[in-house]
Amino acid sequence: MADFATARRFLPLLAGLLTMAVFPALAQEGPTAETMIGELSKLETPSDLDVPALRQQVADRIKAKADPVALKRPLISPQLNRLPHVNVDIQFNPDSPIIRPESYRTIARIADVLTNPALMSFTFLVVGRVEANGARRDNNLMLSQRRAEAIRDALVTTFKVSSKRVLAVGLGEEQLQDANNPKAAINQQAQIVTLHEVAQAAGSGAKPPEAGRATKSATSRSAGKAGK
Amino acid sequence: MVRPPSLALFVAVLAASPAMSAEPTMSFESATTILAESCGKDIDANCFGVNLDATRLKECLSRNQDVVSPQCRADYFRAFDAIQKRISARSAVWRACEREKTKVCGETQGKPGETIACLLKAPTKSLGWGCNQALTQAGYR
Repeated sequence: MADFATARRFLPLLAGLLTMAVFPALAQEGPTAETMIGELSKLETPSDLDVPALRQQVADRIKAKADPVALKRPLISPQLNRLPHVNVDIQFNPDSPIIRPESYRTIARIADVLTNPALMSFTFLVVGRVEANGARRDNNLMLSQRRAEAIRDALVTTFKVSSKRVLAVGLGEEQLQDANNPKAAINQQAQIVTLHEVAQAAGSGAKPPEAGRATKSATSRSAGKAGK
Repeated sequence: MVRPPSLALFVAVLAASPAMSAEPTMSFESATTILAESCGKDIDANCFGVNLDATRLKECLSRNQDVVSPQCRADYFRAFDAIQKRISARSAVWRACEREKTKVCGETQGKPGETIACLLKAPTKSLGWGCNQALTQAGYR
């Protein structure tokens, strides 16, 4: 009986503690879907960002051991920050591209955003980044690439965002958000960047990339654009 | 005795549509939040190396039915089902609004986002019943 009374007294407290323990992780973090849609739709001039060239450029900088000190290391691509973008906090398992369940919600929100009519006609780039954590730069580059691809894969496989609309690139610790504090957590935020409009299918037969297969010409055109 | 074709068509349309009254499907975020809240710990414990991939996660959770929490067991199928329903509802718009796309939005509409925006802007009366239903179910309004 006494046990029951104690349990009853502590139950609300326990429930409160549980809520506190569970909800911070699941609470809505980062920008809302509306904010993201507003930011990402601000594309004025289509970008001519060359993704494969950027990948090469970042690998070359690390290989050449250029800008060896992380403190105040210049951005590898200042152009990226000038394009419409949002920064998102996505948690991964340590040293792995496995997305933590706490971040599933954020990925789903990105899927909601990218499939919103306002953004349905655009192509996006997922940028993976890692803070300068003392690990080797080339390892961080590899990790960020795998993480960016994991975000892209989740959008494509689970939420069926067209694979033609989402590219992924890892920039390791070469695109530090806060270069004055290279170890800061903000430097590992992923970035979603608007690149350009999707290649338009000829005539009136345009379907959203989500809804069906694109025509051959549209495929080759978008591939051409992506590979520019 | 020949059954009127219009009635047959009407019955077929009714049978094909998922519901009589259109309810918007759940957003990806809401559906995925159910999955993360109910199964986050189970995924950590049993599917550690599995990424956010509906097929693989579903496979892993069902393989571990015996050990996952009752909450997760009760919810995971529902969550994945809700994600799938929204995907289907969104692609169904293009079939359901095919006629309206040309009639209301003009044949030159090429960009998918502009077509949907045009359909959403058009007065509901100018769109057919099926198209209106589909737009609601897709969560566009």
